[in-house]
Amino acid sequence: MASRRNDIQPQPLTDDDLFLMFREGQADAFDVLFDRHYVSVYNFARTMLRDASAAEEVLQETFLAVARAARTYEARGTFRTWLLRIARNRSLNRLDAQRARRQVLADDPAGLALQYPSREPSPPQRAMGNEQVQLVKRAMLALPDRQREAIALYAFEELTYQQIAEVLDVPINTVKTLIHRARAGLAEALDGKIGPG
Amino acid sequence: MKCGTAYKELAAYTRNELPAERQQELGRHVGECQTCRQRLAALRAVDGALRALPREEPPAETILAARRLLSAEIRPPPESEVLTLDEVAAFLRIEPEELGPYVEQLPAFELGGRIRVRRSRLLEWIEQRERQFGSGGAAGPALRFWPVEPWKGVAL
Repeated sequence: MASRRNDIQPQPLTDDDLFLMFREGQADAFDVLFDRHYVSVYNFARTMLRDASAAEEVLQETFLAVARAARTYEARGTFRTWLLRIARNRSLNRLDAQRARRQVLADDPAGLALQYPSREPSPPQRAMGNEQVQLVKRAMLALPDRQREAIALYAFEELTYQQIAEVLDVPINTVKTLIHRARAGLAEALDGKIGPG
Repeated sequence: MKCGTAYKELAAYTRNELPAERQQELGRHVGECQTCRQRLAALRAVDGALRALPREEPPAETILAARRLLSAEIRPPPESEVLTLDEVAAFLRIEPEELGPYVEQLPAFELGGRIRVRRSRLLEWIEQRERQFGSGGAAGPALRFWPVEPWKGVAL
């Protein structure tokens, strides 16, 4: 019988492991990081920007910035928050430019719906009708920006309050307030319109 | 009877994030208040709806384009004999901003206001510096003893 000493399971590579490998010259490690996180970055950018093509550009810019800023990242187990911070900054730059150029579409609910269609059908295990999905998305888009960012990071990225505080660069108590307000705002907007979770 | 409890406070209550006393107080109140119970149900529904919301997958073309762009960035293209200053910095494994003090020493040529460096001349320049370094010049003999894993914390 094999002794326990010989029966070691390899630990999966953490983001920090991969990033250090990339910094040492292993380009493939960066590819793995991209694969792990591109959905998060894309969805977060869409949450902030309400615009699919702008989110696609932010996706590219974010990972490019990560590749180029390899030296500035300190491997403290915070790769994800660092990455999302970069994505947020890129999105904010874009928002500033957008607002300077044209009116925000928030006054036009029909415009919002057209801007933010669902590209993929819901996966079978998540039985949520398309109409309900649209309702929830619309309610999310109607939230004030910082509340929407906070609730997106909390609900979709499943970050801790501490991690959200790092991404948004605010104190933890502010994060809690933002999330409570966001949930309350969504509950009020959706009250009676959506089924039990 | 209309209830004065703030929706936002109920949201904190569901996460057990109110001060202990208020948490208990609200716990008692909720048992007796129809409005609050309805609001709690609405909050639960929202939490469930958010969990169930599908994540958008970017279009395949976007992913392909991003991968190509990133690959070009992280896997340097075939070598050109003539380098820009950014490429010189990349070649020397330093940031472009750090190149400043060395620009005047580089074997560079000027072309319409732009500075270019020939790879072969750059290699010669590096050899020159290696000779200086190795013979205990400005850097001194102490750095001869190279750590096995230089990336572990040695500033190069």
